[in-house]
Amino acid sequence: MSLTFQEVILTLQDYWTKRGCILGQPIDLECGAGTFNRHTYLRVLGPEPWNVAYVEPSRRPTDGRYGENPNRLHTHHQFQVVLKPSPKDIQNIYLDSLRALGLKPDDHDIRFVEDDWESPTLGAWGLGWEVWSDGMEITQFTYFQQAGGIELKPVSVELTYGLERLSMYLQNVENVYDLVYCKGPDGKVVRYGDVFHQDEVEYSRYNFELADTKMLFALFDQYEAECKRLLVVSEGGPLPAPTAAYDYCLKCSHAFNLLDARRAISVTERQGYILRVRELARICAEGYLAVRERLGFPLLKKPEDYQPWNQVKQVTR
Amino acid sequence: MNELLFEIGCEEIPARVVPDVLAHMKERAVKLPESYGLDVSSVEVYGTPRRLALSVQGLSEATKRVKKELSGPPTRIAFDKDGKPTKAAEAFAKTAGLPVEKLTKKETPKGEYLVAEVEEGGESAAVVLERFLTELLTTLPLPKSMRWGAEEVKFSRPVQWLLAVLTTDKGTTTLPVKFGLLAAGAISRGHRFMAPDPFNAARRQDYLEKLRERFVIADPAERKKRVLDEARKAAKEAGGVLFYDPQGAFPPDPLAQQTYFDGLVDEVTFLCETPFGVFGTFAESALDLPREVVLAAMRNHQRYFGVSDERGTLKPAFVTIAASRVKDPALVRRGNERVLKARLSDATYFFVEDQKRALHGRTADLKTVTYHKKIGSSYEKVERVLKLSFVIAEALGEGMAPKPVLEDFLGKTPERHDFWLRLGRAVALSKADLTTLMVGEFPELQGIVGAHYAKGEDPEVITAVRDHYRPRAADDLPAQEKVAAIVAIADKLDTIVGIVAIGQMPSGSSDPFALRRSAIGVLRTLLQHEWRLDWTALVQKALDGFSIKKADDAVAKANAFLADRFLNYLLPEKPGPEADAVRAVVAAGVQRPVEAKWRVTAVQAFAKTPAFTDVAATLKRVINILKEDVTGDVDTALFAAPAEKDLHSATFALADLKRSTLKKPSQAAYEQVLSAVADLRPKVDAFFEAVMVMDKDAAVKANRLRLLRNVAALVRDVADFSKL
Repeated sequence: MSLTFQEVILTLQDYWTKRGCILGQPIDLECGAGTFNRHTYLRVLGPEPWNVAYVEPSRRPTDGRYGENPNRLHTHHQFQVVLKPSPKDIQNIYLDSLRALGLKPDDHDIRFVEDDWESPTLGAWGLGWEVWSDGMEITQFTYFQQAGGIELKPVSVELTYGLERLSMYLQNVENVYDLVYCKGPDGKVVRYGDVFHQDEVEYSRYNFELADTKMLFALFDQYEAECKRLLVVSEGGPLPAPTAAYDYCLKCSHAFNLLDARRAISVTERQGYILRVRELARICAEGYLAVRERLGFPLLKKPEDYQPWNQVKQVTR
Repeated sequence: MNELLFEIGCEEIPARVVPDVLAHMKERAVKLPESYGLDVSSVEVYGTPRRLALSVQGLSEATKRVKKELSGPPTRIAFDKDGKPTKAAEAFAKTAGLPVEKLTKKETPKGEYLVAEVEEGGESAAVVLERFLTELLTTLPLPKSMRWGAEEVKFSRPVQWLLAVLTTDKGTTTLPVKFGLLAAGAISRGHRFMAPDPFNAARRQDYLEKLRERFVIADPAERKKRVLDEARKAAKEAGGVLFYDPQGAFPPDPLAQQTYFDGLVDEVTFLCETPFGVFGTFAESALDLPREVVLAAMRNHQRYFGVSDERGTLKPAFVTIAASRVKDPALVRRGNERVLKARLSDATYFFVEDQKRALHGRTADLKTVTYHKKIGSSYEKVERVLKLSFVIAEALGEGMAPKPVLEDFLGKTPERHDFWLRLGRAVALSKADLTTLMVGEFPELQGIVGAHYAKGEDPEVITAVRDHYRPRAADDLPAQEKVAAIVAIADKLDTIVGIVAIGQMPSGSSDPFALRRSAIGVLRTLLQHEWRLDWTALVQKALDGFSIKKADDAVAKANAFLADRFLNYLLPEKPGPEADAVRAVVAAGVQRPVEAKWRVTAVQAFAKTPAFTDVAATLKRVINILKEDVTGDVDTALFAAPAEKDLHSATFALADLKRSTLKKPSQAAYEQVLSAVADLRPKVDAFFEAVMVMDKDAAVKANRLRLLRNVAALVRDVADFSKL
């Protein structure tokens, strides 16, 4: 019997954690893709090794369809894997993850089809493929070349499984809401629609009809200012806080996505907003890299040489 | 026989990259004798998404030995007073690789110098090939390359293995070629899933056969044949033929054949190592969608072939080429059918949603669509195209145009259709489909989608909405109907002039707005319809339509660009009299491309006549004398010799003939003019025999120059004979 939606997640978690990945968690902010999570966007910068796997609920306001479209969702779920540096045998390691899901190359036409990836808002790009199984895209496979406009050395590989699409394929289901989410011990079935349908209806209404655009424009400006404020480097001033600043970059990005869904931004202004978010992403990346460098790129050291939490003096409250 | 086998084993390389890289590898290997001094008898290249291979046979064992003399410092510097070698001598000896004693002295016109007799070459093939391959690896023309892992090197996709072996009578050597952290070996691999284990290969035949056993057809030509066989077989199983398969009986349509067949076959050949054809079906109801939409949904993302009957009527079926053989092809078919079903249901959604609004209502939406940030919105572009279209139609003798106000043509579908209404309406709807969901998904269907959504409009309007983008490619015809052709010319000229006006002329390989294609489109449309329009006048009119800040030399630049495109379009590949004729005509000006084309043909025909060489020589002589501008009329009273009078009256008569002949210009008319000029030649020659042009008497001299100017004027606007 094919895997339930949550078994797909559990299988991938099990597979990748056994191969040395940290089991990460989704970022606790609205975001559009697993790439936006700090676990990816900031950690791919610099020379430190990094291996992580996590689920990311990914919000795409313009893709909402009021729960009426069998394929499109306001929030879909990505299973994201990042390995730095990219292992030499990564294609085969990845193919074994498909085997773990019951997708055998003996049964399916699996191919790596050219797909260049670019995120204009993150100033990031990479080369790689869409992985197809019988013509269906099941994973985005990317060797990251740049993030925040910074050349990446070493190169990370990012694997993004579209969990809904993959599960629909495995369960041979044509409507996402029919997916079996899980089965209780008593055989009771919970479907994807039971868990998410109402969310889709409400968020579609919010995104397309209810969102207060005036508020969102104001928030965009405030978030932008806060992000920049946290990155100011001045003599005698506080140290920059790029990780916190990056939160506000994400908030800007989400505010922009909502305004876009509300069609509140004209085509001409659109590019300007994208560039503003991109600029925030860029300064966050630079700020983060500078801090890691000042810390001596801790993950390059032996674990016992870098445990700042054991060196903290008396914490004052 | 010495033989090299080299293979770059890769993670899947993009399909479009492989053929170019293979061609480059072959070219470099063929040049091994010149660039590396190794003889070669045959070079072959093989490639799939996972390997780029080079096989070189008949290699010499070593590079040729050549004796060479290196010259060093003058002897007075090379030795000190005591005759001992100085540092300079020692340094030279080191460079030459000889001990100082072996250096010799040589007397030259500049004094005595130290020289070294050295023998170069004789390097073993293994050493030279290692260098060749190392250089090759880092200098392949890859359009986009990347790094991976901790590697510093770049390639199209990560390189997984290198095979580099040289086989001679003495055995097989692995060449120590390195690429980043990777060192070459003697091992290759078969099909990713069907035969992944490593194997040894050294000779061409052995390599190809072992790969074949391992489900890899390495030779692209052979694999392409297999793709065709497999795809045709699958189409037959689906009860039809491949859409626009040249083996079928389709109505002629080179663009459809290129887009839906040839291009697809070529691409699919480089998406697999061995093809396996599988067909699938979809719901008949999807065929209610425009044919182009169904085909685009199949081709764009999925690379599926369409299946149709022999006349091109689509069947609800497709063919895909799988890259692996699976246990149960029905599973692969089902999977692909699901994907296509979703894509077609998206397309159906777009089709229904888009048509909830009338097409003409969408034109106003273009006000918010940026055409170019320095130029303005797409709506403004449509307004300009309307003006220019009316100018063109007036120039074509359609009478007085109404005021070109775009809003006047944006109402409900008109019931009466005079010419101006059809033309205005066609322009008004021409870009309305840009904001549709369908064009958003399939940008290459712009115009085609609009035509479908323009149902109920005048047929000529519908055609223009679709065809004003033509010719869409070199294989495509220009717009055939009058309204469509006018809009096509206006739209393209507006694009060219606007982009040139903001200073973004195409240069080298950079032509982001495809201005070259637009210019060829204008030219081909004019030629097709034999419209004798003056495109330089249209450039000026087009530029007047822009309210932006324009570069001062925009008109001159745009005209030069168009003339250059004319030259480029008509210039034959081989140099020679035909090419010279094109250059000579362009040098004389191409205001009216249709006439210029006639002139080209006439001059080319003239150049083939026996009289041509002498006539050209005589005219060149005339042109060469006329260095400076000559003004004023010929004064017959100043003639000294009968030859002058003779030439004068003949020239006069010929000018008359030319004027009346070219009242109705045609290729034949130009041929007639040129043959009359040929008949004039003896009189020109007689003139040169009889008199000195550069007479001591200034008035006589000026008069003779005027006469010659009149002779030159007979051909000046046909071709520049000094270029012939």
